Amino acid sequence: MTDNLINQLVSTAPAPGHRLRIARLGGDESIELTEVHAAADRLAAALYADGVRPGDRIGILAANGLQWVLLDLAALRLKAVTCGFEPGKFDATPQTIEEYGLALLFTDAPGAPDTRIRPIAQVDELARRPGGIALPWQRHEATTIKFTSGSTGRPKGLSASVGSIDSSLRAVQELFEHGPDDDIFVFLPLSLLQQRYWVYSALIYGHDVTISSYAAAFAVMRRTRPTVVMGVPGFFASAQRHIEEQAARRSIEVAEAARALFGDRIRYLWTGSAPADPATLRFFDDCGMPIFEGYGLNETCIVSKNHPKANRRGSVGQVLPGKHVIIDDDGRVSVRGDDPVGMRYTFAAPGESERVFGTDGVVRTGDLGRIDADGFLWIGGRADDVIVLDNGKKVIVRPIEERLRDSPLIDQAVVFCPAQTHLVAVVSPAGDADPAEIGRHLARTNEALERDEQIRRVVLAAEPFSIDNGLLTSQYKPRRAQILARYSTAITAKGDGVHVH
Amino acid sequence: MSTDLEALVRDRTAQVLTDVSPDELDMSADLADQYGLTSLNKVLLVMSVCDESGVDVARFTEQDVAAVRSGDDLVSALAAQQGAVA
Repeated sequence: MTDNLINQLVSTAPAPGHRLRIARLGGDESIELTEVHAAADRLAAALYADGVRPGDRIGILAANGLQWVLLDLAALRLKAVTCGFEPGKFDATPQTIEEYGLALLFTDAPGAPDTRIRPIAQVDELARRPGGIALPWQRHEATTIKFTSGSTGRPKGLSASVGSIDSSLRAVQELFEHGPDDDIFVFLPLSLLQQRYWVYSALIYGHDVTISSYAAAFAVMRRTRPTVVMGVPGFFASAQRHIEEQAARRSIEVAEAARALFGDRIRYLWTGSAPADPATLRFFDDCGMPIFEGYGLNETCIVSKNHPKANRRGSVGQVLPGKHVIIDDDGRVSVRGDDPVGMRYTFAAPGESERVFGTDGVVRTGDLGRIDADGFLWIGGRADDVIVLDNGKKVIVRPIEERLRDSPLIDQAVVFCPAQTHLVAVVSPAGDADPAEIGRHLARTNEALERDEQIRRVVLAAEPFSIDNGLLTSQYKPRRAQILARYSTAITAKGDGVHVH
Repeated sequence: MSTDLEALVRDRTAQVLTDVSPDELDMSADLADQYGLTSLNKVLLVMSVCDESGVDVARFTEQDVAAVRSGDDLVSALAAQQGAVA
């Protein structure tokens, strides 16, 4: 039953001596991994007794916490499929149950009266009932549905295979050799499958893991003293600014200020999801906290990663075993995996699967890249329509721009995210611009968008984008970088609504 | 409301925001909406003023931090924690 790591995780109790810690601003909750394993076993049996069967879907819509972890591990034991819903993007309603075919939905949000919607606190009681269950997985079977930003506003759902999880965990362990002295710090939502990898890794390879939240991360790291921090570029950029400011204010070395924030045991920092600023990478390297950038999409899982034995700053590392990067004549990157995450989306608008997945399971990333003579992958132009906020949330701007353009008043619209808190659109008007009318169109557009996708301010360009003024390509596509440069002052200015420049 | 705490919050907030001076800071304004303060930077701001005012940041909960929307809110939250300790 241990032919893959998920089966090993399910069937074999972890070595004693390592802990899962839930770190909140006000204090920590810590539990031995052996007890986590046992509690998940009991919870799985209780869920089975409650009618959950292999293949059933269990939704989890809650902030990071012990119950989240136990539900995920229990689902693995009884071969139920987890659906991790990010708080704020989904609602605990019967509609969510129906839309995603859930048997149960556990949530920490106020739920509608529906027997299938359960308070996640109920997990504590269920995990105390006696019993146990552990069923084996095949490599092609999907343990979970992970959600990713969709081009229609509604997240796409992708079923992730056992084989893809197994191969990613093995590859990462080979590169980073997580061991008994490690404590991996996770603060991004557990609804992101990769964040749960570090719980699986702790149970399989024997190390500590600390789970926190986006709101608490900075404040609890120095207390919990992790050896590894899993973050995104915006997180590390904020940390860098704080460290530099603290070092200047307290007249101390930046390395000391960095230890004051991250604790004094950092072995390395992990960044991904979006391109990191090379200056930020250099900053942390110079602080004695090596930071390693990698590359991967939800659809591919981890494709490449810099690591202590092979690190080339600016690249996204060498391609992992089991992953194959194909670069076409135009430099476009596609990825094939020996163990594909999936062959198509489980939930997506018509045409989305065909746009991303080839018939042979190859994933078209939409990014441009090259591989150097030593096998390092360099991404020259990521898909420029994805904005990654500093909380790790991704916003795909192209469909937002399309909605804005869905007006006879607007010829072109380009969306930027100047401050990580809101989006700003630069609009090229069609004919004479009427700011009031465009303002009404903006309000209607925002009504149809998710919260993170809404446009706070529109900068109305003084003259339409054109090839002559350098703001359109010869194919009449907006030149994003040039538009940003031309209107940077207006884009970063304060205030809501429509502004003419 | 403590003048010292207000001065500290003005100073630290202006440091984090970089494009506003301590004197110009509107203490009643929503720091996210008006000044573009991200949630991550808000936590760093709270940590920073806690360190300098002698308040243990562990006395705050995630909900407490979420409830801090303005400079005035932060001064009040710090004063409440100092009062609770005293």
